[in-house]
Amino acid sequence: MPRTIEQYLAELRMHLSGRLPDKDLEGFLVETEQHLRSSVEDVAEGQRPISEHEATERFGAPQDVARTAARVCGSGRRYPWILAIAAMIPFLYLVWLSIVWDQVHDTNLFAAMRLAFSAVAMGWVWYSAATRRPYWSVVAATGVGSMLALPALASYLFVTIGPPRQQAYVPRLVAENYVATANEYVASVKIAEKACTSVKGCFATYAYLKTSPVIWNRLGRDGLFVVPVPYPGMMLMGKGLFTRHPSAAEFQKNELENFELKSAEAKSYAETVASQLKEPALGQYTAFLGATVNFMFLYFLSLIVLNFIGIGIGNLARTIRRGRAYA
Amino acid sequence: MAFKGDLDALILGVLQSKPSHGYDISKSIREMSQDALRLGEGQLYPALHKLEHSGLIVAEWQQQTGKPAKKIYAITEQGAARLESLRKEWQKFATGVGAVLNLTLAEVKPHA
Repeated sequence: MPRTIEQYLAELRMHLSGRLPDKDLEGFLVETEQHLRSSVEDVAEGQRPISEHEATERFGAPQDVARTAARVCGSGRRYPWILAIAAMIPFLYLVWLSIVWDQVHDTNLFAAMRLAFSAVAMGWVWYSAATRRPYWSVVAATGVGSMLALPALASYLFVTIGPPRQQAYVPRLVAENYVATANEYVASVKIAEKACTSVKGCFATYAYLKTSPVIWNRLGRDGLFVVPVPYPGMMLMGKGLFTRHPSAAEFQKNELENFELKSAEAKSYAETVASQLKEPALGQYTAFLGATVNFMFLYFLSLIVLNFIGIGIGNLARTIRRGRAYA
Repeated sequence: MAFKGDLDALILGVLQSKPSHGYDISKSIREMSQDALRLGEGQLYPALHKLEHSGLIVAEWQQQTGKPAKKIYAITEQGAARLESLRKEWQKFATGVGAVLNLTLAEVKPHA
């Protein structure tokens, strides 16, 4: 299709916009213009001068030139960097999750790890695209990275078996801390229990300070004490006469029951946590590795599919824009 | 079957004799090869950008009055070393192809 230099440059700009950083785009267009004008002006001896149409045709179709330029000069260096950084967010989330993980409100760490892996892989793909490294280096780096990271990751894992999850992978350090905390709690309850039984003499004062006055009725039971009250001051007198604190013996009995209950709960909790945490068996390591590799394969497959969808959408948008430009 | 890096080699070869701008490079390749090699002109600039990014050539803008600015490219030491290695690769490639073609030529001669 014959084009003048101006038309050619406008079309080339349209095809290149968004695919090259602004500075590179301007430089590329200036060079192209310079080249096309030189072609027209440079008439060798004995040769006929060429027209602008011939010069632009010889230069190549704008979409082909734009495609090569975008492929070679990168699809903009800013966006891949942003994406690479964004891809690291799930990885940071994983680190954070490792710190705050708890038995009750735990998000499945396994899923988070897969997310982190894919995030790092995606970041690397975009970084490679930005720095125009060949894609085989991406594949090699992902492979080597996985081989190095997985054993390290496996040593980082504990496996919990049993309710509420049948099987989950949790951070070793956090799990060990959890068991230690539970055991410390059991120990502290025991100490308190011992103190409670041995220091009976202090209980009268301790009970008095620790408890609120209880209104006792005439029969010595809890309840409202009702007396005919001729005037408000009489009520205060009545309260002073008929209220008392629980006795030291009563308080001690209650406290001991409370300690026993707490102690039983703590013991059961520590035992549950400890029983759920197991060193992963070899099969679990390999299952973890297999699942991760599987996931990465699916991840790359989806990346390729998404890439094609992206190219399709890009082409459609360009076709629409071109239609508008010619309208 | 192709000689990998042929366009890079041609560009570096031209730039080794003197610094040039894009149009001059494509013209020199055409003239030096006596019109045997005609470069896809639009493909030249991405190749130049790639070489510049790799540090094999450097570029400098030269302002012109009443005309678009020219970007002058020059070969670097690293580029010269790369050219030398490409030359060796090309010689090996050409010798190999030549040997096969000569042999084929010798075989077909009696039948011709």
